[in-house]
Amino acid sequence: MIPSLATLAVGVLIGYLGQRSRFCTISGIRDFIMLKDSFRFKGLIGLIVGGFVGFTLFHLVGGDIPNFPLGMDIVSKGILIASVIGGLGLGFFSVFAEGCPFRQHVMAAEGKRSAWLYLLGFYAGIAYFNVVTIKWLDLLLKTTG
Amino acid sequence: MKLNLGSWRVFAVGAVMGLAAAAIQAYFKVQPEANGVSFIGHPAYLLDWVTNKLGTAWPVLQYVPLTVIGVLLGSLVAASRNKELRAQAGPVRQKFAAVIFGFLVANLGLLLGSCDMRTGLLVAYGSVLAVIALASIAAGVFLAVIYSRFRARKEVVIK
Repeated sequence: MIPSLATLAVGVLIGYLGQRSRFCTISGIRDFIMLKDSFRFKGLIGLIVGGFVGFTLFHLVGGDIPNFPLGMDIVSKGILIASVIGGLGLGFFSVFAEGCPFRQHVMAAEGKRSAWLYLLGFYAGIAYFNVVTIKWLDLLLKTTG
Repeated sequence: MKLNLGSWRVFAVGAVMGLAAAAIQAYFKVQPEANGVSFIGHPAYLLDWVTNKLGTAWPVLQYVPLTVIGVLLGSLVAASRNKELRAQAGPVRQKFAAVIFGFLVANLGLLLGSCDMRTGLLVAYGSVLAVIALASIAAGVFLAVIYSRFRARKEVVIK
């Protein structure tokens, strides 16, 4: 119950801040590549810096931060291939969708109809993954070792 | 009192998100590693939890992540307070394309195992795989930019 409430509280916080700041990692990378505009790209840098400071600090004061730093965590060739294909595709299609999944949730709450439709496809996609795509992933992991 | 951070406002928001994600992992048992904020994993686990009540047996965490509900509430309040809450078309003009993009991003994100935000958090956690994944996301964005420019140039030539 407590972890669920903690995620709810953090969700409210980042939802509020994300709406006010137009935070979006995909748009940040896109603007930086396309227009050399670093305004939203700084959000991704901030996330990494804030995360690093937080993990380091809480690790030092005895918080539950296991296996920090993770280091070399490429356990198989299959995981690496899945990560590269998944990353390339996520970046590519998120540009055409005009935002990362977080931004789409924020835009849906603002009343943008295309974000509602995106989320319809998104949740259908999760269900499809559980039924179909996961079998392809298993096959990839078995064949590549 | 209003704090004016100028162009560093988004950086500050990102830093707060990173700190909050680290804090709930450290003190509220939000596991596994760097999973305080995830917009592929958390929506998936929430959907799996709901559908499991209807008879499926899809993978779930020991807790139900409510990040998605929180973000919808938080951004709804922010949009409403700042008079930005209204039904509007949104950035993707073709309705069917928006559904397809959502479908593809969900599948590719689950294949990757995390969203772009959690990938950033995993980079902060020191994961080598996450560095490669983040570079792949950036490469995907780069390819999309090149493709958009190519299409735009082709349309100009045809006209």
